[in-house]
Amino acid sequence: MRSKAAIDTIPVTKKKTFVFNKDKGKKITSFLTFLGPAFIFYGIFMLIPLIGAVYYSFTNWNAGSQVVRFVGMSNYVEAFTNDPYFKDSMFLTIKYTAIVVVLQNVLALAIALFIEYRNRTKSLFRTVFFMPNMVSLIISAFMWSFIFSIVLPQLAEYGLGFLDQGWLGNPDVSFYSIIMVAIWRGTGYMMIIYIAALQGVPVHLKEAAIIDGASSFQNFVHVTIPMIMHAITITVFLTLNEAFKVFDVVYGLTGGGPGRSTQVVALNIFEEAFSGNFRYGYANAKSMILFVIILIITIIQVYVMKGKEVEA
Amino acid sequence: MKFKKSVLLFFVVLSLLVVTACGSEDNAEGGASSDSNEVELKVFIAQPRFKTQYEKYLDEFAAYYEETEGVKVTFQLEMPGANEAAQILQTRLSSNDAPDVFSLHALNEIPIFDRAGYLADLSDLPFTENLLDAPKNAVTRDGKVLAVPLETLYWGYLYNEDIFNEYGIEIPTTISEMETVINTLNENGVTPFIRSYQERYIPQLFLPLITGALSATEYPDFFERMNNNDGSISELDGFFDIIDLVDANGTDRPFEVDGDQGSNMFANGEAAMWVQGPWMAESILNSNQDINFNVAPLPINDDPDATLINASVSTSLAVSNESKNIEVSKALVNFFLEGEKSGELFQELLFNPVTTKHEFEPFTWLTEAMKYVEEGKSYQDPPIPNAVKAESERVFQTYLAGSDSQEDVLEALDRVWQQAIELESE
Repeated sequence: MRSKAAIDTIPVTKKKTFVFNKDKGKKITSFLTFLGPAFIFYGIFMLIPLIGAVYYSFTNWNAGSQVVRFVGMSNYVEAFTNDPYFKDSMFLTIKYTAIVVVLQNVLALAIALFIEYRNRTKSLFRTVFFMPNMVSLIISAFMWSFIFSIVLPQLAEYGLGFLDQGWLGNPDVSFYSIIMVAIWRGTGYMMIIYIAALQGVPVHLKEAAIIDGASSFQNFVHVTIPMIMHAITITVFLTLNEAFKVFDVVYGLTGGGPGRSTQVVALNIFEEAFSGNFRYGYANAKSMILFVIILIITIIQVYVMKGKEVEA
Repeated sequence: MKFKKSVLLFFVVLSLLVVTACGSEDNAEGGASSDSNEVELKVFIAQPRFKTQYEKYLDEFAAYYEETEGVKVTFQLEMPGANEAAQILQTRLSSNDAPDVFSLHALNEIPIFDRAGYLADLSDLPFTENLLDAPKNAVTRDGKVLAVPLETLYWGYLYNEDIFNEYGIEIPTTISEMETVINTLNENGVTPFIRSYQERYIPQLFLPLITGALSATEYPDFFERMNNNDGSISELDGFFDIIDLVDANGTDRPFEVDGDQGSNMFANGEAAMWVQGPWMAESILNSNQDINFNVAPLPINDDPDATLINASVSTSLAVSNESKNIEVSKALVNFFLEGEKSGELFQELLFNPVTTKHEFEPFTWLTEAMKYVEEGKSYQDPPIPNAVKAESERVFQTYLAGSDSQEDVLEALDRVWQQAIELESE
């Protein structure tokens, strides 16, 4: 039996719920409006093909087949046991990744330090070092292809003999040509991240260290580096990710050649799917393997480096 | 209320976007087939260097077809480069987005595409009656004519007539005679061969030349046995002899020289011979109009009967089985050989005659090569699986770069051949 007073309180409770909905509603609306389009594109162009790829990796879909048959794990087994080219390309990619990750990060940090402690020419150098990143990757690959095959041999005739290499034609040298172009292009982006991180290092900490008698090297290693560890985590993650999946640079410069001497994993998968027997299903399986490998490595890397991050 | 309203509005906008996106796709498809007086054909020809000539000829067809059938034809012409063409075409065919008319390599690709069911049967079209024998055989499979041959090739290697005449060199009929020719050239300070290994298909040219010549003489059932998984490419004696000979006597920096640069070098007399075919004729003549070059059969061993011309049909036009305008497409490909200006087109493209209707004067290199063919000194380009050709592109490059041994190369080719045969039978 509700009293009249009790009934009168009901609209109040209703009003409260109304206000609560309004706030949450606003949040959800803005969430959907801002993330919705991006999520739609992500869903259509990344998630759905990913699911399709996983499905097709269990089939024997190829160019000549009229019927697509489900073959279970045999594609994965074949990739691990009966594909010497895939193995070789995996080793080559790991070698490439190791070199590029280390070099790109060290160089980016060095350039960032150099720029950060300039006074007047800071913007100029920042722009100059970032410009390679603004050129489209495939265009820069073609540009460098021109430089390597025509410009450098011409320059070599003017006395700079060491420039007279088979930059793209010699299997031993072409690997390093690719690394050169990749570093030239990627360092700018990492440098920007490092500059931002360096700007966030509290000055009073460095001053305190100097007062305590630390040399500039000790200052750098024990004060600056821990303070920018979060940036290092990010840049190592980005360079690791990018290096494992490298395609454009290699395709534009050497196409994987001569022979297969510079064929990285992405190119090996591309060759499997789009030439020879056009084995789409098998290529999908190899892509899945690459995906899992990158996933595991980057998870380990982020986990390890996050543990080393320090709050100011 | 406001919460529900905004979410509702958002989803309405979203669904509108999705519907318009799907809708516009349908419209494009609907537009092509709904109006029977206007037809749009999607034509895919992988020869961008002949863009103007093909466009002109397609316009001729449009005029002819409108006159005779009253239907207006427009074209969507796609001309990717040779390197990407196979990938693009294969993707389009596999995803049910096939062009109505597309170019393919008759000997390499008809078996693959036919097995997958992409090619329409053209046997009842008028052009088949006037086809010359050799091209007709190349485009026929299981008794059905599946493509219109455009580019026929008779090749071995190219040689510079002026240089040969200057030093009184006769065309070698055996590999020992070739060695003598090389010595004469070296003594006179002329580099014997152009080496151009940057583009993968160029070293690969040795594969059909050697296997074709050997299977036509010493190993007659080689291909039959290979395609039944009963043979090995290592049985072929002296496979690498001519490859090594050419490689040891050629221009420098072979991996920096591609087809175009090689044409330039050959046209400017930087070497006397080039293991290439007359499809480079246009590039060579563009570099130097005055060069006199010709085609000769490549000797591969000391048996003069094994020095033969390779007769092949490459670029051909096929009609997609799933084309929505199959009648018009068939009429188009027929017109390529039966049309009034067909002979003119073939001359402009520097193609050889393929029908009895082609009455133009053949090119010098064709006349020379035809002499060999008429003497019976030729073989049809051998039926090597596409995957093996693709593999040989890479392993030959690695071999010529010095990283692979002869056994590695032969083993790789065997393995890929086996795989290709197994996949075919799946």
